[in-house]
Amino acid sequence: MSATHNTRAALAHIATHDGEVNAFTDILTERALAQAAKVDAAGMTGPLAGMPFAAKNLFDLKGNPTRAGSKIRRTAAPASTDAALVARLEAAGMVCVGALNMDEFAYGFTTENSHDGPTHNPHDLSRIAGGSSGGSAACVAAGMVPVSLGTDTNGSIRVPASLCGIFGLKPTYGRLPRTGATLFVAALDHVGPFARDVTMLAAVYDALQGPDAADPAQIPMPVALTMPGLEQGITGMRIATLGGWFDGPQTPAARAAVAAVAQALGSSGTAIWEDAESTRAAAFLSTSSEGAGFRLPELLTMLEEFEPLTQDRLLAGALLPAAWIFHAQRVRAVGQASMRALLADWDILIAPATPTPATPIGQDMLEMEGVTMPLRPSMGLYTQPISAIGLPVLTVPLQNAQGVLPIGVQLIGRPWQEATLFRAARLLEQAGLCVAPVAPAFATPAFPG
Amino acid sequence: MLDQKNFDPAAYVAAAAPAVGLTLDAQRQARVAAALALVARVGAAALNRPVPESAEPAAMFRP
Repeated sequence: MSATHNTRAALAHIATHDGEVNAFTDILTERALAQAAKVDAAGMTGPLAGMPFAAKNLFDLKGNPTRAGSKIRRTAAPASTDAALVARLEAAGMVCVGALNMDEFAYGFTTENSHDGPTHNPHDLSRIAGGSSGGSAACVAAGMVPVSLGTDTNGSIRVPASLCGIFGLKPTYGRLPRTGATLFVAALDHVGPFARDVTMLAAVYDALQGPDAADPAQIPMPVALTMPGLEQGITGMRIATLGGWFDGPQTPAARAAVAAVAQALGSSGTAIWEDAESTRAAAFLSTSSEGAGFRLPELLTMLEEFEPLTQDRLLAGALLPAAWIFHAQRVRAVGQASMRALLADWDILIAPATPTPATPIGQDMLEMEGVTMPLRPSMGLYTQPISAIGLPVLTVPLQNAQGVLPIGVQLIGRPWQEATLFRAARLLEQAGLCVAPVAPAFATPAFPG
Repeated sequence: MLDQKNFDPAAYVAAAAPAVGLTLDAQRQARVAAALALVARVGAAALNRPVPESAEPAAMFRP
């Protein structure tokens, strides 16, 4: 199939279905068809050539204002160039068809965006898609595009991947360049891809790797391709399930999903990371403070234009004592050290991605196992401690975990060992346990697979 | 570090807001205090965790 054919098919699928899902904030027809024509004219080949994708609307797309889900950036000047990850995918022959809905400035786990409207979960349109990269997960789950880009500060790739039932990769902190992506919390921000199958995710991740001198936060590591070893299996790997904090309040669906993945991967025990709660708390403090600090000039002058769900949280974050943040950074370092010691014994750790499948849009509180907690921050209970110390995580989906709703499980690895996670995910996919077909209501996808 | 018994988020918000140039009306101040109370409640697990003197802050982080 030509790039032009694929692109037209994706655009038609989006036109038919995005009214229900609200994954897209911008559909870039002209740009997409021009890129597709270029790919076709060049006769590009390879696993990604001619495949459409879309990007969370905090990635710069040349000629488009980068809004990061906000109202206050709607009148921003158009981006002068593409974000690094977008440019890399297009260099591999992919075609960007649009920008995707998200929580404002990536502060949230639900994509209930008051400016652009909520993104609806393709498995049940009355429920959230997760966030903050909710549009990124929903458009892939609904079969509009085979691949999307998102970001993850505290769980914003893993939470929507879980709730929408697709694969999502949060690489090691510093692995992929953030150039041209609007930052939320620089010390915690990661970028990464979503897809419905492991091979496609691996091909995309491999295309995204490589140094970028323009990103001061990228850590110079050699490219570590995942495709060559994808089918090697997990023989010899030591795999455990995280207990303690990660065995906290969650639905039966979350528990069953972790147990099923643990069994399929031959998990040989339970590992306890004693610093999980304090590390999560440190990330919560840093996020509150840094997220607000980035936006303080605008909070002072345009407060009412911010997302109503986050105005008060941002203001509170702007006031945190410096001593809290300094201490939080030291707690983070302590948590990193204790996890590093734990990972000396294990190649992969298994944990829930979200404590629950998707909840109804507008729900404020979550009750699980006798514990009631605010829903929005609690979606990141089990993702936040892991991103706080920058470990790579591949979220794998289990379908029909609670009725029609899917849920995800985190495969957590050592720093820079993404390839290990891909091998395990591929095995789970081949076993039929972790697969991500298009959500049934959208079952004639632009791109089967 | 955090003295949860004596920490008064409302009083703190009222006192600290001008330090960063914020002017908050009473209603807003109360909502921000509630948000701060949540941050303090979740953050307590870090704030009350002792760290060794050797623990360096991780502002820019290398895993």
